[in-house]
Amino acid sequence: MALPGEGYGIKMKEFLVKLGKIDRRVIYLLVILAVVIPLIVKIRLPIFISRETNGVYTIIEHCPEDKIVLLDCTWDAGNRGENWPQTEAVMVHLMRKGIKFAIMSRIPQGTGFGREIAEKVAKKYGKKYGIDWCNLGYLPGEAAMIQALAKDIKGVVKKDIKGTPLDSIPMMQGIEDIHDISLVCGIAYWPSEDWLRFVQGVYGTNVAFCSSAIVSSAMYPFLDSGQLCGLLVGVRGAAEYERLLGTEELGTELIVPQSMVHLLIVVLIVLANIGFWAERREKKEERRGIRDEGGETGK
Amino acid sequence: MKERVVKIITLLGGLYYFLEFVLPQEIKGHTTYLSSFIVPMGNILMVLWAFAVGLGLINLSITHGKKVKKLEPGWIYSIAFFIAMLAMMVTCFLDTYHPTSLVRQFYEILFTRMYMPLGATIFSLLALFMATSAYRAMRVRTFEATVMVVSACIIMLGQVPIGLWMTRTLPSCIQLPRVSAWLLWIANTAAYRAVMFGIYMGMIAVALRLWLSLEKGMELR
Repeated sequence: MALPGEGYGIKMKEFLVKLGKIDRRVIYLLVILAVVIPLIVKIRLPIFISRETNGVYTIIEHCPEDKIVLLDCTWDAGNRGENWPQTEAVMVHLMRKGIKFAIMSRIPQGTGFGREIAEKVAKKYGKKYGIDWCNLGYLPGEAAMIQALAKDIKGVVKKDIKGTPLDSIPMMQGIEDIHDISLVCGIAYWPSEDWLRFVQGVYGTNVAFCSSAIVSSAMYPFLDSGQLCGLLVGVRGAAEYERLLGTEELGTELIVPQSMVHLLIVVLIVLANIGFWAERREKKEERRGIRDEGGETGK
Repeated sequence: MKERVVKIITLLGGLYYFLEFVLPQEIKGHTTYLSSFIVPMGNILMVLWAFAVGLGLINLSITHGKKVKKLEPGWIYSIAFFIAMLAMMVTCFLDTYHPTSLVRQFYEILFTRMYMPLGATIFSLLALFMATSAYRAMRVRTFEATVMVVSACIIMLGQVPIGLWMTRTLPSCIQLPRVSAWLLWIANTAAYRAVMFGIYMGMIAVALRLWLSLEKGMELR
């Protein structure tokens, strides 16, 4: 005969086991809701400024005005979510400080994205192409190109993306080699370590990276050794940088849905483990029950 | 004969870059002249690299062209490939050499309103797969799995503002962002350095084999 409350206990056990077997379509729906709801309901969360983001901010604050900054915008549409707010935040800072910068890319699509963001920010701050920023275009060749560029910029890049000779561009007057570049900022899904090998290691030029969050753990050894002066980690880095600049742009907007999805994944992991342990316990009890029965019949 | 020429060029190219990096510009008052050629060598390699883009296009065209010619399953997608490729190529050429407002509009439609959202969509699908993979794979079975799951949860929450918000009432030294930063700066750095040491030792061996054309794939048939 069933004891009072035994039905409830069995139902509870079944519920706990089901927690470990949630249909993936339910998970997809939860992820979509976790992304969409914070975009509709404007929530603002406190932002902790990390050491690595501070590093990028500090180095740009101390960039001299007589040198240029080189932005390596090697990202495409797939990384737009993380690299676009990072690029925008860095360009806003450079334009505010009046530091000239040149955009380049090691993939064909990158220069288009860099140009689009630079035009948008330049319009806001009244900056002009050729005087405050320029676009060197797509430069293939990876390590070989970087080594050659460090030795002689105009030997490698004869014209900008519009076909204008570099000598005719006002901001590139007197910019000959890596010694005229105060900072190389690699903005990519996984920024090239060749900048560290052939530029920072050989000439001591400051290098900062803006990478996606998933590969950022690979950059921390370079931060620790001082080879990298700063690192923007995904959307979080962009949001922290915007906080330092006192603005609220795409980074600040996107960090909230990301936070919600991270929280959802942690909750799902906890539920999965509850279900896993409940199932394991049930199987143990079943085996014990079978053994007991076998023992009784054996008597 | 062809194979020998390729191997000699590979050897000389690798030797040049190695010596240029290792040797100083002047040895006992004599200039090594190696650095003088770094820019022309770089330009040659950039041209070869750009050739790879064209080579990729040619290969894709041959593959998809064969599919359309033989009407193999999925040939309609090959037609879509040719239409997309030609549309983008023609638009970009006209935008560069004969820009008009209509060409610019077409470029905006193809690049900003089609290519960018499509590229972002493909990458965003990863978010859904990551959520289901984390749910299925992160089960605490052993001590090592426990350490992994706990540190993953700390990093995931510490890297976003919600971690700071959840632990805002705790002392600052044990708030999630600080614990997460410690894990990344100390534990992760040490482990990653150790792993990369091993990887780079292997890469030196592979690089030597490639330089000396000892790899099996280097043979011309």
